[in-house]
Amino acid sequence: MNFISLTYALFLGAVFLLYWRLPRRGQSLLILIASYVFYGWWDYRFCALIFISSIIDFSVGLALGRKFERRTRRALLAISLVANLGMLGFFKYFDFFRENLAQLGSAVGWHMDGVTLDIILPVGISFYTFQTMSYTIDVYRGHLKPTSAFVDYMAYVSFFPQLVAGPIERATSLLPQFLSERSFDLSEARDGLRRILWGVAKKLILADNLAVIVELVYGNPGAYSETKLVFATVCFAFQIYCDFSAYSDIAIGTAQLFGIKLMRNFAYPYFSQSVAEFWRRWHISLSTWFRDYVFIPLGGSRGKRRTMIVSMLITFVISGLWHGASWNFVIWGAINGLLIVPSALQKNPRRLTVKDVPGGESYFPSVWVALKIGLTFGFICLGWVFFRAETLQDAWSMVVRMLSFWSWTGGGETLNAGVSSRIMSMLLVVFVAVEWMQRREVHALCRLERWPMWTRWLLYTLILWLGIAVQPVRVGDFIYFQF
Amino acid sequence: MRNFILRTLLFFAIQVLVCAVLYIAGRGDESEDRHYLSSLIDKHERLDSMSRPRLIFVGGSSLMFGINSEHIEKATGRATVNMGVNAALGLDFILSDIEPKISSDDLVVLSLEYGFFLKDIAQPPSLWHALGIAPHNILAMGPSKIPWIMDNGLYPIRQLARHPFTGRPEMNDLYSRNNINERGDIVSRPERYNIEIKAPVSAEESNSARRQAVSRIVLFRERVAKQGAKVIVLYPYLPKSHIKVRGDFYKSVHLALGEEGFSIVGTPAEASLKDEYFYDSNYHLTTEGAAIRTKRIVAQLKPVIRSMSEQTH
Repeated sequence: MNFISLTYALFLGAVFLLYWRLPRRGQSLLILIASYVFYGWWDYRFCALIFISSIIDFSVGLALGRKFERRTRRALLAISLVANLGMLGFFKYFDFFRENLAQLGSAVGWHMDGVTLDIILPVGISFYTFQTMSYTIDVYRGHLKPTSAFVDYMAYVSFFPQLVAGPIERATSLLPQFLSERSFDLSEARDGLRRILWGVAKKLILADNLAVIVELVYGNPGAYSETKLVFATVCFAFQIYCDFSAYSDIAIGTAQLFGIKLMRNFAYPYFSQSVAEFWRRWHISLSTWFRDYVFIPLGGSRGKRRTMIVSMLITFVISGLWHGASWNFVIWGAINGLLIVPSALQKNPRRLTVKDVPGGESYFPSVWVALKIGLTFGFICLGWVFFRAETLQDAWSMVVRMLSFWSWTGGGETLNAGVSSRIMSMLLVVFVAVEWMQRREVHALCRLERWPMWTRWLLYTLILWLGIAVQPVRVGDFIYFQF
Repeated sequence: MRNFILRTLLFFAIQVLVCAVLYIAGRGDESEDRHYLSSLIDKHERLDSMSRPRLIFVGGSSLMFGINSEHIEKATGRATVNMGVNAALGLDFILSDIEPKISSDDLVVLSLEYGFFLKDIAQPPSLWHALGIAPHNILAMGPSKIPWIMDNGLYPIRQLARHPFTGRPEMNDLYSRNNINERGDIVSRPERYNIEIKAPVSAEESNSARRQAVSRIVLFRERVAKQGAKVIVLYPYLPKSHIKVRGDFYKSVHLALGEEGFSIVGTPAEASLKDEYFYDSNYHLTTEGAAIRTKRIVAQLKPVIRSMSEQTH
């Protein structure tokens, strides 16, 4: 079920009304049923995967709660990891690894005629497997007591707002919320609706319209001048941000309606002053997941600097692969890993975190800060080329052409995207300005409560109808569904 | 809580009001009536007023751009109507739209685009336009279409929101209602390629989609049979280059329909012409291409109609 549909609006309304009439256990059961209906709307067969994954981790969690010796506990953890990563590996990476092995084999003279299974990737598999694995790992590490509340646990894994594209919640944060009484909080619910509206606006007004331009240029990059390649890359940077952060906003806003708090997933990443800061502000739930479960176990930042750099690179490469079974994603991960190295080598760096105001406190940034923000955005865009390009060759030739400023030609050609590039550029400027002004808040519509009701409602109505009016013919799926 | 729900409902009521205002503001625009999809109205008028028994062609735009109904009517002696408009209306709409109109001894010729056997190819702009003309088909299409209607329900609201500012997009003369004659065929069309026909992509066969489509067509045949009419299948015409690349898929459709006992006249391979007989789509024939197809159809239908007449007498 797509968030941007009448189906979801009706579904959400019905679940909301029923939810607050039920006792705590009934609420969790309702969330569980609603989540499976939500997921089954795409393909009911894949509900079995979430169920299997949840059952395995629930059982492993319970077993880890008993006093076994270390070896047994490790074996139990291994069952969970093998089952979840095995499922992920099969559905997401089987064809990729088979093709690459076959190519490698033929390069050394071995002909491997394996089968290509053309496996359909279940929506959101990378998200819920990571979420359920984090539960088992936390129980194994002793950070969390295993739960015996089956329905609450199942609801935690399948919680529909964040099931298919995150935020990837930790059991330590989300599970206790399902295990305790929830009460309706009017201001949270209102803020939730505002956040949903802001997400819908970002998706319909910006992401889906930018997608048309990006698809046109990235579908045939050889046909476009360097300026158009740069323009399309900037468009993609905002497309993916508006698309993914819109999903997160709608997910978090929906959860607020049910009295559940999800973690923040984006904190104005494009106002970051370094690539390292960008990764503290972008897809925060995944970045922190990789930090806690991959980077730190690999050595983290405690050991030697060389170990830290190697761990960092490995983490970013794995993170790239997590996004998709393609070399493009691996290289995208590696590029970001390499771009972070300078920050890691700095002695006593002043680390800007999510809690800092992005871009600094002052209303207008200093030239130096603006330069750093611009440069960071440029580096991030460089990575996005590999993320979005259809093939590695396309990505490489685009990067080479875009970086060869001295030989740029043309640029006068028109983009027959059905959407005016000029209008989209103007909308982007407005969007960046709004985000800049609101960057102290969690989301752009956060502080509207202070406005008189009629002006608020007028603004909401305008945003809603602008979104409806300018959306393309067919609302696209969220980009991160494919991961 | 109560306050929150009431306020939310009030907000949605305001949005419904905005919707109503936009609807009223957009009324009286004739561009909708000029759109080629509105030819469905004319086709139904013709269908209702024709002498019986009738020869009814059912399918997508491959029919509208692919046959000369007047010629077929003269050659077969049966009042003919071409109901083909656009495959993007989806199989459910196309079949549901015609089912209640069938009467005894009609011959229904199904010429369905292959896309129907790959996936649900209904597109919001076309289907919503057609549902605006024939809203009763929402019920006729059955409960399986409800998720589609809900998932794509934003589209008509989008059109309402855009209309007062941009108007409905005008189609070019080729795709206008005026360019479709009383029998439902395109009147004039370019006699050379407008655009290059893209190389066909090799199709990933979809068994479940094919099964679904075939079972829907079987249901249509049963309903039509109850009314004393007959259904036969003729394949839409494609460029020969497509048959080469996707031949296996077309053959699988042929086999699936054959297994269900459909009366099929010809094979997918026979239903093809050189690439130069097509112009802006793989299914749209030039006048010359349509003439060849019409001639072949007449030859294929004559024995069928003769045998139907003999059975009646």
